[in-house]
Amino acid sequence: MTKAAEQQGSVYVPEPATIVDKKRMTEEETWYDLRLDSGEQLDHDPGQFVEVSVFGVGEAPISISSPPSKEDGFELCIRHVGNVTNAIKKLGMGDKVGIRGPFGTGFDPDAVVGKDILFVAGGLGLVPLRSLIWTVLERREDYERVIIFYGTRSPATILYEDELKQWENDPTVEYHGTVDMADDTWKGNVGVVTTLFSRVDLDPDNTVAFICGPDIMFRFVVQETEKVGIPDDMTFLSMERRMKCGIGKCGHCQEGSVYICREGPCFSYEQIKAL
Amino acid sequence: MKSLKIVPKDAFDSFVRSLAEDGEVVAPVAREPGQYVYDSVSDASALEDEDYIPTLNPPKKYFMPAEEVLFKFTGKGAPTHSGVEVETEAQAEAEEEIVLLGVRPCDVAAIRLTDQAFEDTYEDEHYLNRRDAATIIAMNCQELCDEHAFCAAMGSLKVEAGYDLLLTDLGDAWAVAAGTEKGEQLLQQIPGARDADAAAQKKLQDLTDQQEENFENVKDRLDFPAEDLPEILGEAEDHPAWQEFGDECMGCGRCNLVCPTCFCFDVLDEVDLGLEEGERKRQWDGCTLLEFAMVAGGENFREDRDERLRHRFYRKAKYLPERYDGDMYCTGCGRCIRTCLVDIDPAEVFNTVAEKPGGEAS
Repeated sequence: MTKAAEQQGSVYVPEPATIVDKKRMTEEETWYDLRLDSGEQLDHDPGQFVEVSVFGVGEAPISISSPPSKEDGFELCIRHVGNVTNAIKKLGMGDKVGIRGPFGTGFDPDAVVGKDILFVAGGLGLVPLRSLIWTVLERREDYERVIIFYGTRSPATILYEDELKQWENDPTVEYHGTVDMADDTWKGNVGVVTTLFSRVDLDPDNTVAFICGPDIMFRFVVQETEKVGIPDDMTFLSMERRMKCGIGKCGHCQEGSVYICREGPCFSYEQIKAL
Repeated sequence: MKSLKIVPKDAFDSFVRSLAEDGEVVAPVAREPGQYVYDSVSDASALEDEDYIPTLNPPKKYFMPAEEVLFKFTGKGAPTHSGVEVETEAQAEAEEEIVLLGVRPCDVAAIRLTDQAFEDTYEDEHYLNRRDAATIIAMNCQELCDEHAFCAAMGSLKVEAGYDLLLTDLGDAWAVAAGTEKGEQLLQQIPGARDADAAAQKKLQDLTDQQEENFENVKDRLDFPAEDLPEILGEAEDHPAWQEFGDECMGCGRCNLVCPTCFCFDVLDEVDLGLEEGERKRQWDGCTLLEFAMVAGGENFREDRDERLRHRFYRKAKYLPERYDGDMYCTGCGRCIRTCLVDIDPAEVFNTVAEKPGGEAS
């Protein structure tokens, strides 16, 4: 909790940050490259989030999609679905947003050294996992197999296409993508993300799974990881809730005795079952 | 050793008058019969109101107003348009001193609970600055205020901390106990304060015994000790009674608004018509309201009233106690019962879900 220890002034006042690059990724999502105006780094863990402000509109919790190793600034991939995220859509290069964070508990890459790493991402769930995927690939020799399952609704909603190709062509990565509904251009797998489990043999004794996607996807993916025999404390998820303040005060993201914004958003499945 | 002094009532009244001349003193006063609010007073007469029942709103409003500005921002041009420069200015500054007089033990307990939440890890200076500027002169309850209160069952009839001074009514004098260093200093300033002699000590003890007796049946409002609640609720998630209470509940949020331990809030931005100046505000929010757990895109994690009602009771008696060393976030003040449109009573809810659906105690 270094951020809290360094606290000066109101915990609700964001730091200014500038959009230095942006790229439309799909109909609904845009990728942003941001710098804090202070010149400081965010110093985040994979899986943590920031509160992004558009002054006059409000604040929204957004997962950080770049790995901590990124030297200048940080990246977000934002789905334009609410007031704040639709306002962000109108911003361009050089425009300012406010940033608070990083908040929450992320994934710990050190805790799973020597393991086979399975990533299961559904749709926008790739965004928080991407930070961890790149962190793992940067220190590839620390891990055994790296397996990535990625499912989207359709070919048009695929995020980070260039990077997916990179992973597909990387001999040290077992990448499998699928879409729920194909179109004429699509040559790959069709079906929900759980159908990919039949394509690989997983070692239940040495595999750790990181899962991120809509709540409904969790339920089905966890059935698969349990079927394989991956223990609940080796299965990790990232949860979405209404994380309004980010610091465990406003109450919106309470789930059982935890605040998703403090103890989460990343949990082991064992922790989640107890909620 | 905490100091205890005896202060004749007229001397205490003079003391309150002098406090009110130097700054703001607020106490529960009756707006109309049975409708109490914390409001400015100039003397100690509010302490003598024998019809007192808990105020409509708890003293929380002095530390966390229903709406407050977190910071202001100025920018040239519409905030969502390109090229806007924004400067922010935090609004949490040192607050005016205020004395809260006649705070009853249930509310003293609640203030300690909200202090704890706002101090946790990330200090909320908006709340804490106001809290630091407040002096709490609490007052013991000798008799139950009305049939809705169940403080004794929730362990908040007697408070050990959370006040600067604590008054007990000895008839012609107040027994005044200091609870903090600030209270100790204040106690030294009260003219006419004398040490408690044997007679006064005896009278205090008699009053304590009498209080114990007066509240004996209030403890029975719960069928089990309050500290068992986290475990009881842990077993009761699927109890059919939640559906029944949920069907009754209107989801209006009144219980949240009057609760002394509800501190959830919503945050919103407001800009002036020229789009150059704006404020980020927070407002009280309520977990029984429909939008409370809704995320962008429309998914609502507690869409049904019974889920939201259950969440409220779990937060009071399981989730927050598990977070904060077993402290119950319900003080039994009874405000939610007095204000509820359909008479939902937490004690009754807890007793009902503690029983197996067949009627047998679990």
